[in-house]
Amino acid sequence: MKISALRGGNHDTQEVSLSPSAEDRLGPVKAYRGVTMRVRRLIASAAASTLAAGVLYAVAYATILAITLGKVHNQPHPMPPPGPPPQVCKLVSGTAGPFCMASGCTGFCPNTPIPGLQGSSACPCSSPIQNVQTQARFVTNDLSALDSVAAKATFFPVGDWPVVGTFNGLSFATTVAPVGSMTVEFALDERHGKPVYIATITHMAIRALASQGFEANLVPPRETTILPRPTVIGLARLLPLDAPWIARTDTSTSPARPVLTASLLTIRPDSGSTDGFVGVLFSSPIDGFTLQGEATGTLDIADGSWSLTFTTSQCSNGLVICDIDGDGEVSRNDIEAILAARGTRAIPGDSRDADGDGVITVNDARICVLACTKPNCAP
Amino acid sequence: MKKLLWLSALMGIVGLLWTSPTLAITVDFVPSTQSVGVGQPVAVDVVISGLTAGGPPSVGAFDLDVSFNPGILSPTGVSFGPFLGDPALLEALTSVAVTPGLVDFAEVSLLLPAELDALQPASFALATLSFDTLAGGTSPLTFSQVVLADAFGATLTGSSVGSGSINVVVPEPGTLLLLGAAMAGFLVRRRSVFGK
Repeated sequence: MKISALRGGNHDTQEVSLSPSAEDRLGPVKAYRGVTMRVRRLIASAAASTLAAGVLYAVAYATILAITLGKVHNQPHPMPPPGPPPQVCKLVSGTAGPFCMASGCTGFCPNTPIPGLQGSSACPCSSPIQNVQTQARFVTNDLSALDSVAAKATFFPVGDWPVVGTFNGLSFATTVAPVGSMTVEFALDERHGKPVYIATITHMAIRALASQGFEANLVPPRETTILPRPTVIGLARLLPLDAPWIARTDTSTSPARPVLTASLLTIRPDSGSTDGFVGVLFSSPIDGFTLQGEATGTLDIADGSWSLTFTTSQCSNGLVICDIDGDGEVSRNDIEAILAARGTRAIPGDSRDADGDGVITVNDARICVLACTKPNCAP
Repeated sequence: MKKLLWLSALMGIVGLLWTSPTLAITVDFVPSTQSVGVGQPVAVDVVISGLTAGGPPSVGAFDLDVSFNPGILSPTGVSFGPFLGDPALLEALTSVAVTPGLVDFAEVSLLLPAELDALQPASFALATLSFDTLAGGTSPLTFSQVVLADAFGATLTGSSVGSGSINVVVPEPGTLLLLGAAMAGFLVRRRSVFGK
């Protein structure tokens, strides 16, 4: 047998002769080495196959991914590209209308559309409107009269509501067409010796449209100015806290359902509510107006009739709302401008902040939809 | 005494289970979870429920922000439902804005409150969000902002929101294919080694 050995880098072969006895002793070693070589070859072969399969797997995976990503990127994207929403910087602060709008103004505004009311150039905003009274009639959810005191009832306004008052010495009377609802929760209070129902207005969002030509009811002098369109006359505002309401005592007409035995019904608004009663607007196009101060009223539980009187003077807050582009109309363009600005903080006097909560939201857009001057907010 | 205790406990449990369902307005993703392959489009409805069919309160406007994983999903469109009015007929105005990981979509109805009351059922889809799937993984869908207004522009109170997710899976080469490739490679290699 010859054994070849490699030394260093040179293929220097040395041949060593072994005796037959030594070759016999090396028999098992040779067999072992042969097996080892085969195992090594098998392992190497398996490893190479596994590596090849892994590469194949990766190639297949990458191919599928590339194909799918290619599909994704090849598809059209109708969505607008990411970026900040467009800014709506145009603001219109109100000076339009017959009433004092600008702060510090002490008279009728010069651009008043009512000639009869256009007097001096200044008017005190402390008492432009006084003795505002209105009568409202509500019905309950099922359009029936509320002749029993339920734990909770939702009222809806019906009919036209007359509104009377005085403005700078001039009496006026008009009617408004209300929309909205009012939810009242009743609770019996017997702590004062006699049963008293405490009714809490937990939700009240009533808005009203002025009838056309209400200025004709101004007396004296009788004006003939006709408004070109119904006008929203206000926003939902807080009814003054603890405004007293007196209920008639003869409203329980059905002995079979005599629940209301109290002689006094006190209705007060929920202190946490941000909704409230309607403001009244007497100018055009749109003017926010907040009823302020205390009001007294009556509720006829039998037929849902309400009336209230604001004893304190009312003053416009001088804010033209919803007419964002200042064209004298509330239209789709104004709603879109509010919609585009949603989520931004309102600045003082912001005509986009219709509900006055300091933030421009879709609530403002929806309120202004109700103030649109044409059907479907057509421009 | 023991019997009395057991009876009272049983009554308590029954009383807990016997609660009447309360009507609450909820906004959810439908389906809340779904699984699609990467590259396939996927859509999810945003559904409001708990309203009163044919009467108030109805939805007059909404503004919703939906967050997702931008590495997995890419929004491709928002389609609005017909129950606030048909935007194509200018009965409603819509707005969509996209920032990475966020879809902000809003709709304002131009219909009158009475029309909305008559139009809206107790539950309906406000909008449908469509996405392309970019990579494997699970993207949560969450409402990061919800503003719901009734027909008069007052906030719809007492509403709650749900959450959802989209699982995007990457199609892998089949296991049998992988094993077969390994076996074929092994045989070829073996033949080349032992064939010499």
